[in-house]
Amino acid sequence: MTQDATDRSEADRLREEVAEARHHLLTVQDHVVGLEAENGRLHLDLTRVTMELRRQRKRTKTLLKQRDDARARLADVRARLERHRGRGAELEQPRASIARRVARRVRGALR
Amino acid sequence: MSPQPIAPPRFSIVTPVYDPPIDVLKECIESVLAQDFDSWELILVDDFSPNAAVPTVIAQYAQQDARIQLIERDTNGHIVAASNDGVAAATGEFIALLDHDDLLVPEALSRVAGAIDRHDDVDYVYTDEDKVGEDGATYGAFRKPDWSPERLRGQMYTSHLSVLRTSLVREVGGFREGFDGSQDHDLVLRVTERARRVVHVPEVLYHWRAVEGSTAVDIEAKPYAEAAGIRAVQEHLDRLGIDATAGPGAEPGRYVVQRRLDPAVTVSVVIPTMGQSSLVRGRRRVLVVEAVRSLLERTDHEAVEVVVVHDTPTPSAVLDELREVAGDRLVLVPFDRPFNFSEKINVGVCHASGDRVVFLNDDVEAISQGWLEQLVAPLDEPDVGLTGAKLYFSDQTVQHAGHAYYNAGYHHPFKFWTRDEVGPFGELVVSREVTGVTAACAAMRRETFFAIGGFSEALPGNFNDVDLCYKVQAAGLRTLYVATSELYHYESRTREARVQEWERLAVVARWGVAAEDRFTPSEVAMPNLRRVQELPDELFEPIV
Repeated sequence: MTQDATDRSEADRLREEVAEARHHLLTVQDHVVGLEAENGRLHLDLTRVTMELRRQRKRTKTLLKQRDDARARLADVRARLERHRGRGAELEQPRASIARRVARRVRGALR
Repeated sequence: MSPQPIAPPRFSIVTPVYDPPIDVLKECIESVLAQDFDSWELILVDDFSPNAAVPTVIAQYAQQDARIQLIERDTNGHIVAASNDGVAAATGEFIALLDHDDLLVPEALSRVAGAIDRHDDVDYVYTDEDKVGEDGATYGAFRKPDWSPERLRGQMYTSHLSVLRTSLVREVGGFREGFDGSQDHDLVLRVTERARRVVHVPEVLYHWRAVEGSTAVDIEAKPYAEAAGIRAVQEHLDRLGIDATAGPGAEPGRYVVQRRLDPAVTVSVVIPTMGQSSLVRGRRRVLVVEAVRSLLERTDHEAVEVVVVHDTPTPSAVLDELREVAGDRLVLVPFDRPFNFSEKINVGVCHASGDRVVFLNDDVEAISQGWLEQLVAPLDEPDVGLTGAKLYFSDQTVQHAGHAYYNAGYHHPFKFWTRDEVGPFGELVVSREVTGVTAACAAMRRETFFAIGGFSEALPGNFNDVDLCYKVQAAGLRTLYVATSELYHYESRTREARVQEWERLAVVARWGVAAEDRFTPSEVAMPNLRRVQELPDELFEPIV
């Protein structure tokens, strides 16, 4: 093998080594870019989900307050209803005539 | 301390008026009065209309509303002079351009104000538009791309409604005489050269009146506009130092920019192959040999290297033929690992020496003379990261004219359109920004390829180009579809690529789900589907 041929094969070997190193660099860089992209995407998703969570929490809080208000109103309405029912029942009782009730009261006072 | 609320911008609506039908002019003014946003002035410049009723009507409106101003010219100076009078009188922070027979939708100004409010450096805002016929019905909605400077060179796509920062309009000298018919294109080109931010509002906020003789009905209605448009684009290219010539496009209102590639730029074309043969138009051919032959025949660029990455079983006769066709421009790189398109391209680029790399499938054939120069030259612009060509099936129907990513999928819009069709709004014949291009024929700067990590070898078959395009976008670079670089792609028309779900998920894991494309909205990409959606429901009722 002549010196020229040896030099050429050595140069070829070195070129091949450089290409392999470049290829290695490319694949590593792809991983880095890919991880950064995934990280960015997850970050965006997380931000979106956090925002949504915040919105839903606020909505839940509002709904709970509305529920409590409604419950209070309901309890109040129920109490009033009970009162009205009692009064209604009272009014529905058969009562003596006014003349008889007056006479009864007068008799009671005289006793 | 809470931030100070920012005062809403004031709009000066500039309307040059020349002899419109009175009822149409009234409708135009009424559409401004109907705005749900108050901070505006309407400057109507009557360009010496022969009908004396025109200034009278405007004066009546001006008496009713102090925000309406009439400027009467003593001579007919045409649209440029009249528009400049309006610009000179404007007191608002932004100028909105409104033609005397067109209509604004009631939310137009408030929507634009909202877009301006989101960024404090907005210098130009444009919106989507449609047409309004004589019966008042609207049609032909133009869903525009996001800011697309390359497309603006090929077509005045931003058109209506355009809202420009007043100070910048004055800084560039307003409308220029001699550009009648394309004066707005010329102005927008000059403004966007200096604009800090351009914003697209993806809503139809402007109805363009389609009457006989208007450009809305017939794009050839103003032939003088064509020459003015070409000159506006040429001067824009010259100002930016882009070595290119502007010329007429496939139809009036479209322009072609032919770039010149610096002879000193070295280009490496990387082709992965197995040395297969195939029948093309009834003739058996070795695909890679014909690809190399055509690519070299149809370029005048000298500094081209062809890097063929061949699987080891490639017949030696094919390699001999390649040596014969490409001579000392050929670099052969053997590949003995299992099929992986991404890896083959990466290995090829690692063996390439050019400043620019072109990825080319072995089943292509260059058609247009100078295809390589047109594909590679845009990469001289530092913010262009990737360019892709226009590809046809062997029957001359479109195989590729840019990707669009929407509805959680990756699509080839305009597939199977014919070679002579221009697309819904010129998309097929105008070079433009796109979200992605196919790796069957694409070009990049070498340093960009290495900076973004080349093709992902985790995607050996499908979507490796989609991932690459997302990487380019993430690096803040533009991807261009180059309509003037044409090739055949002898991919089967009927073969559906077998896509595995994990491949799609791998892309989604990195880049998320594609909702709507920024440059080719789904309504433009799937016009037929839109037409189907517009059909009456009874057509879809089951037949009993």
